[in-house]
Amino acid sequence: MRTSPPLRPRRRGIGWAQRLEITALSGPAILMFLAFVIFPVVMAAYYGFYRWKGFGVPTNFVGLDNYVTILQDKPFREALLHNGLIVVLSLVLQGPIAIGFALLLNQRMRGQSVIRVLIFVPYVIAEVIVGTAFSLMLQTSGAVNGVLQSIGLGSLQQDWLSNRAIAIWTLGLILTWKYVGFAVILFLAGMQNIPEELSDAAAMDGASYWQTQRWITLPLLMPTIRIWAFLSIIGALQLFDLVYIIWGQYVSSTAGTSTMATYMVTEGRNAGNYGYGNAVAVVLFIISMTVALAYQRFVLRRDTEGALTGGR
Amino acid sequence: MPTTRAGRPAGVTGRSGRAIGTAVVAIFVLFFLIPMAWLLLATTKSARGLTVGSPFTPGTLGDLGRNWEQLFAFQDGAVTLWVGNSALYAAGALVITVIASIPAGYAMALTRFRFRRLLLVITLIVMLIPNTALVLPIFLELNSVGLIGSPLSVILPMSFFPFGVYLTYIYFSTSIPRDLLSAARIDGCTELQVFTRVALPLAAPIVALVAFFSFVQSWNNFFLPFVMLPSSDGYPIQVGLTSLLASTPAFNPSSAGSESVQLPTLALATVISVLPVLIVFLFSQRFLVAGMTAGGTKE
Repeated sequence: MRTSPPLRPRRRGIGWAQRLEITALSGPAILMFLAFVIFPVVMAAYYGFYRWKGFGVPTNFVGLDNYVTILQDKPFREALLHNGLIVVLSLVLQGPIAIGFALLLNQRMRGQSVIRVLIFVPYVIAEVIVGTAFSLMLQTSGAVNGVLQSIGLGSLQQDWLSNRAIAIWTLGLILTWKYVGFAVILFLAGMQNIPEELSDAAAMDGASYWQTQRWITLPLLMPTIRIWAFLSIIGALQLFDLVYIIWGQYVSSTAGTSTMATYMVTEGRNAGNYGYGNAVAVVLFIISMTVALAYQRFVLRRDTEGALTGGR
Repeated sequence: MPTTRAGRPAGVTGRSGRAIGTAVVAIFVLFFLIPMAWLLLATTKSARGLTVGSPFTPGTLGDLGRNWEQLFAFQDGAVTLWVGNSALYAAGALVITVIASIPAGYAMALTRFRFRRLLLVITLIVMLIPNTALVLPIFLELNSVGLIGSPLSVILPMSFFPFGVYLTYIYFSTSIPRDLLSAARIDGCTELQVFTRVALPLAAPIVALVAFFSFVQSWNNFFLPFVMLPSSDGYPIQVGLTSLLASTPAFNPSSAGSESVQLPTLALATVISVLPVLIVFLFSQRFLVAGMTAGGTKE
């Protein structure tokens, strides 16, 4: 933790006028923070203790009943399990593909900039649209099965979306299509920060291309990989749009793709049980924050220390 | 940022290695390209042509025209209304986001006050908060002040964008010399004048970056407007798409009524709702990648 820079014109602290002005600068952001984070979180915690249909002041205090129900409810446990599976699938599918592809792209290659733009396009497309497009293609009579039929692999045709054994893998692949480009761009940016002298030196010492990647590029890329994995985990825990669009609100639990967020909407908003829905929001919040803080504490710590406390 | 890499070793050595590399890249590119190509081609087909014909033969302009007509005739031109709503929400959120996050990021980066570090830590933590969990409580909050159904119920929560504050913080703390601000202060500028006369004129790149991310995020947001807006008149296009989806017999067999939507029409709707974001992205991708890379070098 470094102290302030050497050149500071006035050391005597700041006057009230200045303080007022700084408050004015950061005020709007703080106001938004209070209105759309602090207040909702407090209210969600409060409503979560009530059985409440969303009208008037909640009166039916039930203590921890909602939480007990959530944790005992089989659909919620399944949703939690699916979230876990999606986290794992995202990491194991996207990670290796993105690293391999970033290594390939990190060389002189014709059309490189076009490819970079192309693989980033799915990332800026909304999940709703990706979901709609893929449900068009993956229907039982859709394009994917049609292509399989026409190239003589008709036996591989599947009910990609409704077969419980397959649906979660389908979801994993769609997520890969949408998000792997982001990982590639992130890794490429990370690789550009690795000094070229290192791999040059290794090459001079007779290291092969793969040895250089394995022992120099990959270790130096680890901080970027850890940050990517973090973003990926957080995203997978919150997944809603894609599942809701493709599997609808009721099918998702039978197809084995429901998530905590779809559970929250079905049981809370759609069923009109706002007290219960808020309790689910609190559980989702606690799970995500626990994972995030644990990851920060145990994995990201050395990477973010500089970003958090360093600087000035 | 120019990405020339002259002088870098050629990479995978040997002709076979390079051939394998090219093949892998080609397969990967196809994996990305095929769904997009299929979707574009689907907009030019009739419903029958989509299921009967080969997936990768183009349809006809006539069918594209018919799909277009069907789409914009849906519920008396609802699609036009939805696209307009999306534009309104995204633009409103963009303006408020910039107004809120640029000064805050500046204050955290270049001024001194007691809670500066605390605010920075809060910003980082808030970026991790699951938005999904906040939407339901925010709905109740806005419901209690009677905002549900008004555009503000979508615009205000969308404008909460801690990532923008963080990006601005990174930008100001890495690319503006403090001496410049100190000089302005010695010359008698107040803090606000330092911000508006010195920092703001230099902030164009970060304003653009924050605006881009805010726009894309708002335009693509589904969950928030889905929860907030009770009437289809206020839907943005992303939520409107679900109405179309629900009127497509292939997805919802009970909907085969007069207003039913055919699959190619649905494909056309998705293409239209991607276009604004795609156009903004293609025009800005150069500085965008540069901005991400610059953020990465901070660490």
